[in-house]
Amino acid sequence: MVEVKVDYISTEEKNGTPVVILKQIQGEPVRRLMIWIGESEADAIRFFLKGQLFQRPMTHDLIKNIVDSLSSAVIAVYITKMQESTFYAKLSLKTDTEEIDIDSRPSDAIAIAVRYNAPIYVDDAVIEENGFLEEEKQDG
Amino acid sequence: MVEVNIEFLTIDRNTHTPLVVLKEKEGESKRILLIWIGEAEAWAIENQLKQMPQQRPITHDLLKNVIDTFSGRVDSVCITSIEESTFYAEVTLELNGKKYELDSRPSDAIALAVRCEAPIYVEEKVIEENGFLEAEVKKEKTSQRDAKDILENLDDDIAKHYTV
Repeated sequence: MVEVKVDYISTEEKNGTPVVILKQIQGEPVRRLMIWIGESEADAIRFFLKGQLFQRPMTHDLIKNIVDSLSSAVIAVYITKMQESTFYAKLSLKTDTEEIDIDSRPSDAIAIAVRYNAPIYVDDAVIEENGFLEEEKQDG
Repeated sequence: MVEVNIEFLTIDRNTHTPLVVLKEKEGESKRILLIWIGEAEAWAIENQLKQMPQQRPITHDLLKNVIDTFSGRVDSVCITSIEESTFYAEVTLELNGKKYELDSRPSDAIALAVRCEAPIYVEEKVIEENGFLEAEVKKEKTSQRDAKDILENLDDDIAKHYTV
C-alpha cells in the first residue's frame, strides 16, 4: 500500500474528460497515478479542496452527514485494483465496534476522503503498473 | 404533507436544465411541482427509474450502500421549504429504532428515495404556493414565462425520451 494525496484535477487533452492526479506522499521516485472521473465528482473534489462553500450540501456532503449521523467515520480509502481500464476502490468506515469496507468508485472515494481528511492508499501493484514518474508529465 | 410521485424527468429547453416533475398522488385535483436539478442528479434518478445497469456503483448507489451497511432504512424524504428560489428537502433515516433528519437538496433526496423505495412528500405550504393544477396546464396558455409555460413548451422529443 502506498499513501497518495490529490495532486491536482485536470482535463484530459484528447477528449476533455476530467482526471484526478494522485501523488505518492513518501519515498523515491515519486510516482503519480491518473484516474479518469466524472464531471460532477471532479467538481466535488475540486471545490472542496479550494474551500469553496455552497449554500446547500452537495451529494458527497450528504454522504458524510449520513455517515456522521450513523456515529461512524471514514478512516481511509483504498484504490484496490484495475480491471478492464476501470479502477476499483473501497471506503473503510469505523464504528464503535468494527471496521467495514464499502465498494466504491475511486472518484466518490476520493471526494469523501478529502471531506474526512482521511488517507488515500493505492495498492502496490496498481501504482506499479499504472503509475508514472514526475518528470514524465509537467503540464496540468 | 402530501405524497407525490415522479411524473417524469425532462429538460427545460429554455435553460437547458434538467427538471423533475412531481405530481400529487392522492386527491381529485392533482397538483404538480417542478424542481430544477443538476445533470448528475437527474441522471442518477433516471438511471434508477429505468433500471439501467451500471458496472460500478454511482454516487447515489454508494449513498444507499452506506445506509444498508449500517442496517439503516430511508423512512421518507420531504420537500420542506423554498427560500430564494431554492427548494430545501430532508431525508428521514431510521436506525436502531431512532429517526434522523438530514438536510438535503431535493435532487439527492429523490435520487435516494427511488433507490430505497421510500415515499416522497411535499409540505402542504410548498405545494400550495408553488404547485399548480394539472388541468390548468392543459387548458391555459399563458404569455408569462412561468412554470406552466415551461411545462407547455417542453421539447416533445426530449419529453418523450425522458418520460418514465
